[in-house]
Amino acid sequence: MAPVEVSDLSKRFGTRVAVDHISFSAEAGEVFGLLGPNGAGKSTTVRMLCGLLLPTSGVARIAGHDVARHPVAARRRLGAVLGGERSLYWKLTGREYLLYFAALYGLRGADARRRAGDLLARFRLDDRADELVERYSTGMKQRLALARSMLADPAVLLLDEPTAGLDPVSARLLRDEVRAVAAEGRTVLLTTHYMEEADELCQRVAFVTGGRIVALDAPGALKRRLGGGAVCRVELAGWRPDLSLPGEAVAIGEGRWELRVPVSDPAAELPALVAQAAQAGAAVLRCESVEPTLEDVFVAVAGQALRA
Amino acid sequence: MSALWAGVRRSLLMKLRYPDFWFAYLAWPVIFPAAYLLTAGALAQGGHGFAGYRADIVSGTLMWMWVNVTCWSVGGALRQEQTGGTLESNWSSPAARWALLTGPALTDIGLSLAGMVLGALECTLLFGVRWAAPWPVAAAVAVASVPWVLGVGLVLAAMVFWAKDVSVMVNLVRGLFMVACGITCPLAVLPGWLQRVGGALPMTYALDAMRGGPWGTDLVRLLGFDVGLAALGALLFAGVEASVRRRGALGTY
Repeated sequence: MAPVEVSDLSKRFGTRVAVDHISFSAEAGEVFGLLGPNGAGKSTTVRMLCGLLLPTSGVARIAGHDVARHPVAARRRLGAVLGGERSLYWKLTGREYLLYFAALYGLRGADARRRAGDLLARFRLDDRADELVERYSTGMKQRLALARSMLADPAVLLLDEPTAGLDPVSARLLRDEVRAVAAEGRTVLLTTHYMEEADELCQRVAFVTGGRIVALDAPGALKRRLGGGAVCRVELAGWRPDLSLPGEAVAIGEGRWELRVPVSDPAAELPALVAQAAQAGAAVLRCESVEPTLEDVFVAVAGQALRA
Repeated sequence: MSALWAGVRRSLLMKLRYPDFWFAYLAWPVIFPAAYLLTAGALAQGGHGFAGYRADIVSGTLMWMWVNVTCWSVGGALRQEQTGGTLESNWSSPAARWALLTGPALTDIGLSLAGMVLGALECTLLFGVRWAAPWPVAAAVAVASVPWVLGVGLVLAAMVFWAKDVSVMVNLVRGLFMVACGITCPLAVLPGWLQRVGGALPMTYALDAMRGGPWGTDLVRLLGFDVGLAALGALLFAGVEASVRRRGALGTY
């Protein structure tokens, strides 16, 4: 049985469907990404897995425990980082914070102190462990939140936008930690809208949009779905939906758009695409052919899903 | 239980790190009753019939201050977790909900109880208060008042989940206790309809016992309120919390 199993899970708020019959599983040692824009249903899914939100229908299991029927057993096997630095008590020291949560997970006395000390050292917080959290940098706060999620030696870690608001160096350090956590055999379920982060970290990703999973596979396999392995990016001014150009147009600000078109033969198809855009009345500002990214795949897949 | 005491310790540590805590803690239990004592002294024109009434005023105002703090302790802690963003990290742990809620509340209850004892001592020294009830009775009343206050606290905490900001409702509850339980005057001088309202509130019996009333009867009534209000609070909170988890409004504020 996979540590995370989600089967036909749905959540409805009145008439609005936030999560629409999604199913997936994540294996031990796997970093599994839930990707999608804001409001896609990622955080709602994570909150159902934490037992903070009751599903309308379907089942979610953590380490074999149904989160709705046996929430306490499920939470014992689960660590979660939700809400980033806001999830911390700023008037406690890092050590006091971990000791408080250790008690909530049933750790006491010397065991709790040893576990907190080990985690503070592991996440490079030991030299500042007895300072108030309010004096920590954002990166340190996020590492402390991650340390807290590891207190109960969980089988599954849920990380909701763990690098949001971090500078590039801190984000990289945190990604290294996530990789190390997964290498220990834990399942990491990561939600993010940073496609590069998911590409770098995740063995598999699920694209979520409108509450539904529109694609689920390894990042490499998803990129290969685009065809011959290249994407033409054409920057345009004056694009309009009625121009009937191929691919997906993404607004990039100041009245400019980027047309992204998966192609199999970029040398032949890029000039044709530029000519077609110019003929349609759009001004071509720049064009290039690049290796497809996960974001290209997402734009293509989400666009298809929205048109379907 | 370890989660409960962890909550007590965490809440205490955080309170002590705000420097104005000690001012409020030491000064208010004197300032608040003093306002009433001085007014009553003036109305009694220099002391006729006032001496025996001092203890009633001090016990009434101190008891009200204690209820004032503690009835909002559970809801206040919950509201703080909501607005601070720490609620979901607590709620996603396996610790029992009641422990998460009552741990910080017990800190408030214990601290404010100690503060009231200190206030009583200060008023005894400063204003020459002579107490009607022996201290074991006062202690028994204080202990018997914890469950019903927690019950009221759980009702208000349920309202926090339901309506988020309930400060108006909290002040209404505080005002009701203030007016209808006779904190600065004997219940007998209140209008009849207000006496009937006071008769339905547990603090009335707590004050009656503190003021030399039939403490055995008063304690039995308090125990009845303990069971009723604690059960009402627990049931209401459990129901509203489940509803909030269905609606997805646990962490919203």
